[in-house]
Amino acid sequence: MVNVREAAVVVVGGGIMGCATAYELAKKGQSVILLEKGFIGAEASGRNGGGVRQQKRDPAELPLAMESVKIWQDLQEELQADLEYRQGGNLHVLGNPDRYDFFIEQLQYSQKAGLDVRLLSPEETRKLLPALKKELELLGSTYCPSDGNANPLFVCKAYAKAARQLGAEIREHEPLERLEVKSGRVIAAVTATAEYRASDFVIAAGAWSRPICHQVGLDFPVVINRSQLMVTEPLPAAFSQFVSADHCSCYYRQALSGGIHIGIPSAPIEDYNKSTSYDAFKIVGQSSMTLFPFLEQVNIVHSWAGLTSWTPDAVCIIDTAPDVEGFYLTAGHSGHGFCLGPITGRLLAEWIVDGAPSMDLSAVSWTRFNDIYLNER
Amino acid sequence: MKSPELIVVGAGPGGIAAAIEAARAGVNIKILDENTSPGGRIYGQLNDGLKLINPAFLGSDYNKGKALLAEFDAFREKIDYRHDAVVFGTFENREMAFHQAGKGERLRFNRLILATGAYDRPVPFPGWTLPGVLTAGGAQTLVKMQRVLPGKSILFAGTGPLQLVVANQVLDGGGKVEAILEAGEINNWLKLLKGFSRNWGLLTDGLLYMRTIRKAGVPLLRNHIILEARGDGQVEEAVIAEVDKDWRAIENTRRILKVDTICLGYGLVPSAELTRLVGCQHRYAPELGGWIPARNENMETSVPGVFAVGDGAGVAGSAMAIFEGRIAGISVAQSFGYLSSEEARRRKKPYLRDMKKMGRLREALDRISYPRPGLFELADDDTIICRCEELTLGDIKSAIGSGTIEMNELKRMTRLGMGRCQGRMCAPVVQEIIAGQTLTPAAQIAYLNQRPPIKPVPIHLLESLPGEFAIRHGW
Repeated sequence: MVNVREAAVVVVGGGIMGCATAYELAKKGQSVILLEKGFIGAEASGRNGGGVRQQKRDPAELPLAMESVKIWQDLQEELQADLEYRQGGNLHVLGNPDRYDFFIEQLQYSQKAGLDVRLLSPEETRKLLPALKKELELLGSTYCPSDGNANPLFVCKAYAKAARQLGAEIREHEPLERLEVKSGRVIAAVTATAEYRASDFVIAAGAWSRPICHQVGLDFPVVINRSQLMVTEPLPAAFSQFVSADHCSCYYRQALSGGIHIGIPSAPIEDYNKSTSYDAFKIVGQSSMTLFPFLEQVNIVHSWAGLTSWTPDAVCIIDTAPDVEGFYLTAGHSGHGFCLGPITGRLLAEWIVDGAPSMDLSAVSWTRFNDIYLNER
Repeated sequence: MKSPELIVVGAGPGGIAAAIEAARAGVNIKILDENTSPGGRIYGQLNDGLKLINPAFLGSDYNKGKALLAEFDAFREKIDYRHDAVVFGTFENREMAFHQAGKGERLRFNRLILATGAYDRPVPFPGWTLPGVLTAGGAQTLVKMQRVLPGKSILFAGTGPLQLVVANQVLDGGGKVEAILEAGEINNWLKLLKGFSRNWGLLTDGLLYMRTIRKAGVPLLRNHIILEARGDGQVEEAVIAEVDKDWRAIENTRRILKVDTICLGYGLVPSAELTRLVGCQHRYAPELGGWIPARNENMETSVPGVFAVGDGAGVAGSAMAIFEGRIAGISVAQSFGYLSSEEARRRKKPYLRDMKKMGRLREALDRISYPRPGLFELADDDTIICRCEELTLGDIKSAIGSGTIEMNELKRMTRLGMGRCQGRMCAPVVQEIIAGQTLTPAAQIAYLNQRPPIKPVPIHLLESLPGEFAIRHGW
């Protein structure tokens, strides 16, 4: 006998997108079941660099990021949880004349959109970030003080816990086997233990989303990347900003626990491989000695990796499916979705419950890739 | 990247024996050893500047070790032996990285023999983080290598022969031992040794140790365990009690000993970091120290060409490590065609025979001295379990209470095992704690994922690794 469970909405994926969506739906009084293949926050949402950033965003994502930070600012209170969130700023050190104009252009359209983002002189930059290598030649930096960071380990859990308290059912170790589609409508999410029926389904399965979408005849171009991180032993507070630079590959964030998290640029990977690569060690060494020589004698104690899905324009997708009712999707966050989790959850809940999201999402529709497919064909 | 045919990691008894046999057959070998000179922990030489006056002080192991090291010396020219070489990771495509003399290096491995040894089992109980509590192994290093006594009045608490050996060395060095607590039945394993006396010199050592201990008037309390260490900033007293067969304290047997030092000898935990990182299959064998790699009769793991020998593949002592090492070395030589299968079989035969003989003894010994459940119930809610992140048993219990049953999830929730020791100190204990709290067999609780670096590695050494990577952005 098939074990049938029912809810208004089934969310597939227990990362920040899925958990935020489940929470927002439950807040709107919806009955929600969330299915997670492992445990909450086990994949990229719990493995990322923890950046909550508005600057250096594509125009398509910028308004989303700015709205999301508004939610982030009160999120600890709302979820009644310590997320180690703080607005320590995001600083990108400029050092490459060839990329300078690009960053200035970004800065200008971001300012136009209302974001407080500043162009700092080399002196101002050094004053803000004294740990920077003395001999580094810099052209200045772009700095967004309202950007920040949080502890990725805590955020999904906090959302899930809050959702649960509002009545949502969070089912871990419950991998989706297939979606059941009948007369143009998704009717059930099927796992090994039960059939979960609902009127609406949200797919928020990160790097695992694309094969699920294939089941409703939807495809979009994404490449799976491996994003790696390493962390040093705990150090006294050295800087509060999330730091990146033209001069090196890595980005830097000091967690409240003192360890400096060092992010290695992601690269395409096969077979969902999450191992740590040799290259990552060399890159961390090179990058850190270029930017922060005070780390010279400091030990790397851990490494980890997460899988991210990248779209051709590195902009995310929040959309429905073309020919299927009751299907919502968020995917392709291209390594910087963490910040967008809170707003994405809220917009999807509005879309499902109120019939339309409160922000224009046409810029993050998958339809922008239609041409790519047409060209390929 | 010029690669040798065989890389051996570790130059304790197992690693040396493997290298000897492989070199004898003509295999091209590189040994990566963390120590300054070959011998590992058991055959480790005295530190520079210290002269050995009385070799008997170091026990018969010392002489056995000297013979093996002499045998190794005869092949030294054929072996690229690297001292102070720390392997910190293995990677896809059978690559590995290590550092030595301030420089990072990269190697491709073909055949790999992992002889990484074991470390002292951490046992948390109230007060175990007080200065003055140390492991028997740590005390041995102090006495043997540095010629320093660990304290003025010393209590040994643990199980098995190692603490007798160390107590002996402390007595020989002029130290005062207040008592030795054996959690199990000491008579059992002495009897056992007797039964195997023809095969193993340990009995003579054992009896010698016992005699010295008796002569010094040190009480040897069987079925006794330490429950708590107390003191103001330093060990001042120890609470001890008699225990039942599960090592749980028997009521009304508690008493207090005035001591300033407590040496814990509850056996060893295999250093299986590399076998796990390479992706070998493991099984949980509490009687052999914990998670150990599965191996075939050639000591080869489930990853083809990767062998594991000695305590790192299951704690069984130096004699066993030597047999396993020789068999692995011969197998590697055969796999390259340096030895016919017939010749390999002939060379392995005596070691297989001795191993079989000793195997029965080992099994019996293991049955007597492996840690019983009571050992993992000593901590109270305020006892620190993860020393790096200062997590108490209470913290771990509340995380388990909120639904976490996986060690990797527990780690993410509590930062357990994310400090400098990388989980070596807490993970073996937490495995048993989760098992106890959730009534799940320990073998079903997946261990922490193993990732590089398996030892903390300084950033400037990473910069010196070979390879060039252009600046790239994207996050």
